[in-house]
Amino acid sequence: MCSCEEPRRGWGRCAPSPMLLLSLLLSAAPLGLRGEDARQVSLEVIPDPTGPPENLLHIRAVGSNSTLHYVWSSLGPPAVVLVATNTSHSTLSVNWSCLLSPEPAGGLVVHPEDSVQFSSALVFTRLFEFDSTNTSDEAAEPPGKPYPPYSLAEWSWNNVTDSLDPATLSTTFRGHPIHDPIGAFANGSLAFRVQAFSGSGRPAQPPRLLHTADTCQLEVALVGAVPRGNRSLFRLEVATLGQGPDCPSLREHHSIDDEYAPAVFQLDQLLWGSLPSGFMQWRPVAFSQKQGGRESSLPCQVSPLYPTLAYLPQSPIVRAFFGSQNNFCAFNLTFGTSAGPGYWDQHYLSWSMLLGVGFPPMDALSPLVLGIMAVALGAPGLVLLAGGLFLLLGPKRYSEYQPIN
Amino acid sequence: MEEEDEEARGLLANGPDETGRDTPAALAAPETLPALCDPSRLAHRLLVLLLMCFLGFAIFAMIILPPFRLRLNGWGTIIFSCFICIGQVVFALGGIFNAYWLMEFGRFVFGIGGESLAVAQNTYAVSWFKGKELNLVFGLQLSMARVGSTVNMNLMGWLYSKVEALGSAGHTTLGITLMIGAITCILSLICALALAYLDQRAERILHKEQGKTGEVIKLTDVKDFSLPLWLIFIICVCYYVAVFPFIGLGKVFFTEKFGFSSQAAGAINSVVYVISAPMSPIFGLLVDKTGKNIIWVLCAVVTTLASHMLLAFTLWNPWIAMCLLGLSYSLLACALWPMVAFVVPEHQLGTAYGFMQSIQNLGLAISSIIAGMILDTRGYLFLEVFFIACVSLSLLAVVFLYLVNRAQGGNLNYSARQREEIKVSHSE
Repeated sequence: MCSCEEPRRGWGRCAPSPMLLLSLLLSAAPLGLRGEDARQVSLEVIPDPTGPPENLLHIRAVGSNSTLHYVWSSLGPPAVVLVATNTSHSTLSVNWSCLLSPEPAGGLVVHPEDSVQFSSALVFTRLFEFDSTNTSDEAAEPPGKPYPPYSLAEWSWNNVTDSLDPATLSTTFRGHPIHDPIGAFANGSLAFRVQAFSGSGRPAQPPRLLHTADTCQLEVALVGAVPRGNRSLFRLEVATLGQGPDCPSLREHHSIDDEYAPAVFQLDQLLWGSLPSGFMQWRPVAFSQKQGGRESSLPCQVSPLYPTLAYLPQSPIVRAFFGSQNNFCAFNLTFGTSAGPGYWDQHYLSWSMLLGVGFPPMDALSPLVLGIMAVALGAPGLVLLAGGLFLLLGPKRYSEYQPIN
Repeated sequence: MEEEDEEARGLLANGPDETGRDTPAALAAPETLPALCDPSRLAHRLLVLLLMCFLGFAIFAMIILPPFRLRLNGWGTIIFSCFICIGQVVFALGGIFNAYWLMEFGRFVFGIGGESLAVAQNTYAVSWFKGKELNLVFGLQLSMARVGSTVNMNLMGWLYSKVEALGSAGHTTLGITLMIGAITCILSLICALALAYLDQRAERILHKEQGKTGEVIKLTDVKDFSLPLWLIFIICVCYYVAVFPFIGLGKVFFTEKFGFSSQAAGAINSVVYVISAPMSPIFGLLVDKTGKNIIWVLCAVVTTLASHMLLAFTLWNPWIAMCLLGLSYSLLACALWPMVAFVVPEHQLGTAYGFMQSIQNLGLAISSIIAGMILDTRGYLFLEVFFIACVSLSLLAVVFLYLVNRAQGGNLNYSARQREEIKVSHSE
């Protein structure tokens, strides 16, 4: 019912759901970005016929008149290329020899090329670690004593074919650094669990992000790695391609509804253009326990986007699809603060996000809440009305006059 | 009913210079006492009011626990005051000796006395002020209780840091701080002694009959409670269930939803008490002058409903909603508690107040647990909806009470003028 976009801590009123606006925008949107209720989803691990197996996962979500291609890979740093086309017959062609060469441009192509309505990419470049033991200021930058970051380009990953689950349309990329002198990841890993959806729904696992057929979900989980500090905070650096010269925009939605993510009233979005367009959506919360919950929730702070220089690890599949583009922008996600729950509790950290095209799904008040409110506000009014009528029209029971004797 | 009005009038009637009528009670006095010492005079009543308020100050300054009912008379009140003194001292000793079980035992003893003292306070108030400034008295009692809470919140932390600066281990500091706090319990005991003396003196001077001022609690009286009284109980329970647990869980709500800092969230959380401290006497006076208690209770409950809806469904500055909550909370206390005195005969008053306190505390205990469970699984919005449902139940009970009162021709909603007329007509 009520999802509000407003400056932080403003006096603004809650705007009603923009259903009219939404329908107007939908009718004016390009075909590939209009959104579909259900899609046929297929997961395909594209093998490299020569050499050692490299992970290349192609998720193809086919709708009635559009297709979404998600190409996930751990070739280099973990990355995803997102392509939306306006036909249900578009296909992806992979040229492995080109992809594995020093100049991978042209190694990934979506056919027919003129059907591409939107395309962008996300690259998870580095994992930072800070020791926040002596940091009392929560907004300090950096949030603690920095350790040398882990560059995710130099990690070794499992074979995703092993963890592919067609029933839930999910698979997991699990990796650890190739060079690990202190053995921090001897029993630990960083996992990227990718899940696609054929329809709308909401998982039971917190933060219970509402997904549609136009989105896929990524869950990043750091499990078992030995932290280098006493109270280590982790930060994930994400790079993305901007549409045009500007960086994508970050938006924070403040809403009244925290039914599905208790005590989290905010929804963050990364938008690659004006809606409908590609988007990334997440709740600014991470969890330090597997089952999640209010007592194990960590705040997740996002930094503003900044244009990057070339020092960031490059992803071959991004270069394969987009050529040698330079308008990368990067942002950081910092999990936790020095006080409260943290990674140190159970050596577990998980954070989820949605990646999709079209209009980001928005939470609405559940029917239970609406029902209770209707009864709570209606019942006293009805009783007053009924009782008042009865008193006015019913028999007189008591006279205000007292008997003389 | 007639003799109770007679004795109430005798106790509370103004002196000859205020109404121009001689009261038989005043003529029976052997000599004319100074106004402050004459139990039938307003000034004396105000002195007693002051003592009653400080009786409550100490209770709320040390926060109260569930009740244990005993016989109430002057001696009973003194015994309960002793209980809270002993309880607080044992609590402090538990801190000094670093024995958690001793602290728990101390709180248990404190609780035995504390809640019963609250009932005694209410009963004293009705006994002395019925038909006169009763609403103002309840307002002032609440006010002093909230002042006690505020003083506790602000002073104890500062006191702890001062004691710590003198150099002692953590638990010893805590124990010493609590022992200093026990001074207010001694204050309560002194007030109880003074009140008992003044009450006995008033009985002697005004020939108030024994056993008719609600001093004995009999649980069998519960079956005699009328429908309006049960509705008042429901209003009380459902209303407070939506206020106290909310304040308990409110700090994180304001931090997360509205982005307040921790100190600002603490400040806004306490604004309910800060507002009720000055506003309760004012509202009490207002309800005294205008009567129509049910209408005021209705206003208070509707305002609380509006306040919770603002907090749940909008992102407006929460100061508005919390100020509304503070005002309505004060108004309700001034208008609701005196209604019990109008529907219950005096010999059952202690039982009625005791029962009301008892189920209120039971409701608070249960709802605190439920509130915690809801918060962990469904979040703050659902918790607010739960509170709104509770206030709505309370509103339903108020509406029923109004209708039942109208249908039965009860006196709960009389204006002050009508009550005066009743009193005058009874005296003729």
